[in-house]
Amino acid sequence: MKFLKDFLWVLVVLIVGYFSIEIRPLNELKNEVETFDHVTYAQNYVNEELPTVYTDAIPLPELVQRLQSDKQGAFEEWSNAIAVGNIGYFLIQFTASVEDKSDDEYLLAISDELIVRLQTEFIYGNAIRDASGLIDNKEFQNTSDLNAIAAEVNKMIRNTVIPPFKEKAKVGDTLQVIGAMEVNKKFPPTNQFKVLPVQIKFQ
Amino acid sequence: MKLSSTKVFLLVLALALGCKQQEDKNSGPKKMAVIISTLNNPWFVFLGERAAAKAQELGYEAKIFDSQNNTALEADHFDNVIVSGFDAVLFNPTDADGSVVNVKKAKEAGIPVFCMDREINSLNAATSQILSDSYSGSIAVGAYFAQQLNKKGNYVELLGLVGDNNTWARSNGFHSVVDNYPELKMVAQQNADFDRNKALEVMESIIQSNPNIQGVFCGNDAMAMGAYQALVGAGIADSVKVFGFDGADDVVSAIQEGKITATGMQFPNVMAERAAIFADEYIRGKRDFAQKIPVAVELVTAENVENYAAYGE
Repeated sequence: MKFLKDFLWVLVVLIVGYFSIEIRPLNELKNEVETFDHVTYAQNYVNEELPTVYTDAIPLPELVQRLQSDKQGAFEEWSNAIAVGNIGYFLIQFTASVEDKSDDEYLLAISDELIVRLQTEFIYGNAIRDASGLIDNKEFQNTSDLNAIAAEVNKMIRNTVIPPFKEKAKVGDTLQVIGAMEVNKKFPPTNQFKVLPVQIKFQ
Repeated sequence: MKLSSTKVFLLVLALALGCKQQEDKNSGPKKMAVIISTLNNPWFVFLGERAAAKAQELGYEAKIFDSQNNTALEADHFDNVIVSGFDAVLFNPTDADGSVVNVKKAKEAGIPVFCMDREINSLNAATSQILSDSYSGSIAVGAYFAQQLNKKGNYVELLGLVGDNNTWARSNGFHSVVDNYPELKMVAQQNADFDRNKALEVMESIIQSNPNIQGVFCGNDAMAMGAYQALVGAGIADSVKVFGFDGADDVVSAIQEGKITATGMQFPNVMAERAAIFADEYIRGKRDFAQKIPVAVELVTAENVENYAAYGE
């Protein structure tokens, strides 16, 4: 009788123990904890939100003039950046002709004096993420989420904007470009403006 | 119950002293504590001194505490700060995980903590964390690295402390660029703990087994100088490009002299001042702070080095 009682107790403990413990791979758990979907966020940003501010993009000749005459005002009114410091990002637009090209960039002339280096290889960093000012740092507790958005946005541009452009573009073409430009407040460039493309249209 | 006159006297004296102490705390100038991971490194000395100077400029008493890279000593400083009635802590943590408990202790005591430069692995302990955007800075260094090596060649990476978040933020940012170029091959990756002498030893050993390298990426400038020294010793310094991170004085000079190719310039002054301003705003009643504030890192190369001095000055 005692043996049966002990056996039943052990059985109960084993059954309760078995159903109380769940063993799963750590990777599986990690994936559940990291719920932020940076890919969907970036797709929505590039395809839905960013196009709504294309009309607000500053004409590059106007920005260049303002940087020379009123740098502080240009930064306060038109630049955005999630990080604090000297770096500001501008969403800009311009029409220019293709003058030259290399593996990494296309040289575009807006005028004889105003040359743009349109980047087609090194599309990295925060310029396209930040230039629109649409993303608010306070929405994110983890900087890694913001980094992941920037990386995905840049990847989308590298994969969707650059290949069809490079396939078609040739010297002499006229382009309408919307892009993002990084400017250091202390040392703004005066020529050869480096621009990351957001949208390129052939005229 | 009958109290003796001596007991009554002692009771009154204790109450009077207690009231006096409370009065002193409320009437005296408010105080900010600046707790720094180590004052053995000039970079952190600069960070601490700037934070204290900004706090004083804002009308606070400021005291700097040196944790000597020891979380136990750091815990003692926090205890001291709590019993001494400090109003805020400007904090450079010793350990991303180990320092969390200290920050929580201050929070429970009603003292806000603002992290500077190094982060802690908690999203609800510190009031705000003002941190160098190491990841983005390393992306800029990584892109310049790939350009300078024409997207091909063998390279070495020297990591900092493996337990430090900045080590991996810098490494991951760098690799998010260079890993897109299959002809760039990492032949060795070793930690040298942000230390110049260790970097020298590690690099000497790597050169023995991998003499054919074109680039070295280091997680800080001290390691970049150590790696450069090893390359000079091996007689291959002219053919190998070395990249650092920090913006230390000797590396800024080395870029001017063509010894180091580039570094990511951090701005301790911006982090220290912003932390003191946030603490002042908190004391004045503001509560809405972003949990993490990145501070931009700038790429310094031979083309723009004339614009920079050490620590972004």
